Amino acid sequence: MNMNKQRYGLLFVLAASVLLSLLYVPYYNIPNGDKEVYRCVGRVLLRGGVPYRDIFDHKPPLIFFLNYVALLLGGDWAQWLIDTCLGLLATGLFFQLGRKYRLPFPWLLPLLFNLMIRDFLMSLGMGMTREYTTMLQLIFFCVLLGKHRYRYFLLGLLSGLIFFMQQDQVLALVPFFVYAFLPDEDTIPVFTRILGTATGFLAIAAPLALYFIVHGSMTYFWQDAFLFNMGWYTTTIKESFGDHLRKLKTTLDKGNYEVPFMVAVILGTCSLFFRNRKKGFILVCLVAVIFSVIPEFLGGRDVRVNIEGMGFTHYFLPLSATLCMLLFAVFAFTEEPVLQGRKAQAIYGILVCASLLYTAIQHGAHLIPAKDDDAISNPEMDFLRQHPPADYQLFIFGNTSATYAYNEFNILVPSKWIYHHFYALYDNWDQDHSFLISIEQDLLRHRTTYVLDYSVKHFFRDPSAGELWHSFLEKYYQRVDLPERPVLQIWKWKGVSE
Amino acid sequence: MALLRGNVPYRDFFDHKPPMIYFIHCAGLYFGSWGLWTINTLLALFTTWLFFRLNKNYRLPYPWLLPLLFNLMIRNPLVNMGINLTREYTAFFTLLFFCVFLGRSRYRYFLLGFLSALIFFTQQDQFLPLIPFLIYLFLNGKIPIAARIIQVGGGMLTVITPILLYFAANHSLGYFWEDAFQFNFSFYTTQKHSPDDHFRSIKYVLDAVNFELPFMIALILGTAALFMQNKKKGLLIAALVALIGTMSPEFMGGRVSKWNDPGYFITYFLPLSASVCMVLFIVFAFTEDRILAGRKAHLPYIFLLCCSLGYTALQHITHLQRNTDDPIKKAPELAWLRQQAPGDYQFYVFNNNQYIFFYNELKILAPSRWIYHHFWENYENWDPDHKILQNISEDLLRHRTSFVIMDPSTLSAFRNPANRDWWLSFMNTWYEPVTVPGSTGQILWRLKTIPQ
Repeated sequence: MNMNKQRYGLLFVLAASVLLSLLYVPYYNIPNGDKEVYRCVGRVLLRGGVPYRDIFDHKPPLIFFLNYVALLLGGDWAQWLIDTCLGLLATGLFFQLGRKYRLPFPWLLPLLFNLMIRDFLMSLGMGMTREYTTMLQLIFFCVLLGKHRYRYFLLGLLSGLIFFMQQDQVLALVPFFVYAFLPDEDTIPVFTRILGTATGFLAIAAPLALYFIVHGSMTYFWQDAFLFNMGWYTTTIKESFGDHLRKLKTTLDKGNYEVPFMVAVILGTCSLFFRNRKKGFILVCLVAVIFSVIPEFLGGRDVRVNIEGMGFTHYFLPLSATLCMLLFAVFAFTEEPVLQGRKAQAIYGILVCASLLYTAIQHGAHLIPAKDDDAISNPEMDFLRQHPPADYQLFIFGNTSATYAYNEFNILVPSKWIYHHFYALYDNWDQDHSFLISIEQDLLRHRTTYVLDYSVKHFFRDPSAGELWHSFLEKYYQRVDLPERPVLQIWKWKGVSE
Repeated sequence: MALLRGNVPYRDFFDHKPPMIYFIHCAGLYFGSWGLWTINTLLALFTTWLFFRLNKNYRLPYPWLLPLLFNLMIRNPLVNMGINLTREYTAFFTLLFFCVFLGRSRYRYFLLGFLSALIFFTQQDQFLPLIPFLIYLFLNGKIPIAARIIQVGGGMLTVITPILLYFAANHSLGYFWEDAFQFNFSFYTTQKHSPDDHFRSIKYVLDAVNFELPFMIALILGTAALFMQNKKKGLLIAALVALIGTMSPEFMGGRVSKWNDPGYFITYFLPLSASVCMVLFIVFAFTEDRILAGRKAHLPYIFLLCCSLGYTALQHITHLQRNTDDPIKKAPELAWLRQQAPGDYQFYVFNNNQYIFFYNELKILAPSRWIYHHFWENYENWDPDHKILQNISEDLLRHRTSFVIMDPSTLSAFRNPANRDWWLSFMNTWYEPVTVPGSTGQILWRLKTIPQ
């Protein structure tokens, strides 16, 4: 009977995971500049190119390989399937962990995890790097608390996967590693544990390093995926601590993460003063929660306190994993009657899930097809559909969302500089205009037919860069008027007849 | 101010609120510029003290928790729009009602009737949350039911009788009935939204004003307590019904706001400050379940209930804005009017509620009883034969009102174009625009017969 209940619990939470994933089937998965860029890099890989050398992005390489595999297996639906299966794996493992630790509702926290990671107010659909690292973090947690014989190897392997998917997300694992390597935490010698972990990490790092060395792209890889992030992305735009805090509060509020966040952090903190078998572990989980929102404090984004319309809500997606881990630690190891048992956990369970469930139902009841998104349904796309460009024959400047066009037409980009918002973010970006000149040379080399220029008047922080770019367009291209888009300029190669 | 000058509500000025709020403001003005703030603060202090005492009497482990929550909620700048709105006073009275309800005063029933009537004559709809408590009261009690009803009735009459006598003596009973009651049924509650819209609206507001956590905790704990050991489940049901009842204005329609832009109507949710605390009190005071009793059980709820609201209060305190920085207070028209020093009836504001503040600033009476006009924007069938507009125009001409604030662009929102045209033609016939130095728009008008 009890076994049956457990089975139903597992089935319930797996069904919920699939159901929530169905909200993001390709037909409803909204496009987003970042995802479009990953897909473009995946296509470069598919056509024999190499990330960083042939196309610029500052993300680590695994997201590109994942998109490459998706393209290899059929595209959008394949990626949805990979995504859903990974979600199911994390959910199933987390459920098993809850069952193993005799939680009264082993399906509750996996359900919360799914509601949070599929919260459309935060996730920007499927396919963002932090969505994958969040799932991997939860798997890491399950392995950490499991008793697998390859436990340390797997922990290293998963850290490698996380690090090469989204570097900053490895920070949330650090407190867990410190805990895992404490002398008293395992009978296995510390040195063996470290060795096992390092081997697992190398199982990911070594093939990647070899791939880039073989393709003569190691330097590009190092510069773009690492140096760039430390040199540019995390050092420029600074906000006060108060600003960060206000933004954190606003994002949690608007994304409906407030209740789970508050409940988890408050119960976690209270548990430090209550009877609990693993107070050290609770502390580790609390630190992991803070570390999982660290990108907010790393700066580099031009977002304001009022996040209406901002695109960085997914920076908080890893809370889906870390909050669930914290609640797990609170519920699994408590010895306090007020937190133990079915009644206590049912109340907190309803509290953390109710608002997110409401959001999911509202979202499910008001789904908007992706084709209605501004990036897909617009006059310039209609124009391009009438004049479909081939490889290298379209270049989009100054609008990362519009890079969707490369994917719809399944074409390669003529320049490695696929997006350009750094010109709008940083005063001293491309000071010698060498990147702009390389773009221009690429366009001339490929005799690129169409350029969609979204760089409105004040796009360039450095006016001389704007002058260089616009004079280039004037010289080699002629304007195609699109009455519905007075600001956007479609430029057509002068040498090509109408 | 009109009351202080001997005018009578409804007869001499229109509003559809019950009369207590005017008497409170009248008393506040009587005691000077800080009078209203003092009354409000004293009422808050009194309510807080009584509620704290109640918590102590019922041996709650943290007797300060719920009074603190009440204050954080009612002083939440995201919802209260400052102090002195009707629902703020009814929230105080509701919590006082609750304290009396669970207290042991020998005049308990009389006081309950008295407070119910105070609430009814301050904001009618806020009487609804009291109904479940009154039913509970009549179903459970040590003294005979007839005695209970008589005492409650006696308390109510203590408030009702003087009010009725006042209006009867001032020949205003008909106006009182029409404006404060009939109007609300015939116009104010007639605009309908779908239940789904109401639901979204509630969720949106609770999120936007930081009430989400206290509301969710009260609702979930209250509902869960029904299935757990609790000494007063009947009272718990009454409190849960009251919790929903405090939001009844949301379901009564009458507002032109959309669910994602409640605007001014966000204050409709202020009475949750009292009802949330009442539910939580009953959950904590009468629980017999170990997971809800005792210091450790309550400790997480201290932070869950107060953290977010405490943060909002802190942010508000550290970013306080002086009311003199309000654009309306700094309007060039106000400075210009101060120089002209218009007397009573010599200045009128048409169709812009924000500028009604000018009457108070200049300490003058309005020439017409129609001091606000958004009904012309809200309802198609409002004033179909221009009778009210005509009445306003007659008042202006009778008093030879010198100045009128009217932004012609706002008239485009009038539902009935005939009304808009009628009023514009009146204004163009009798008034001319004045160019006020420093003003960006031409909204001040002057009576034509006054020489330049």
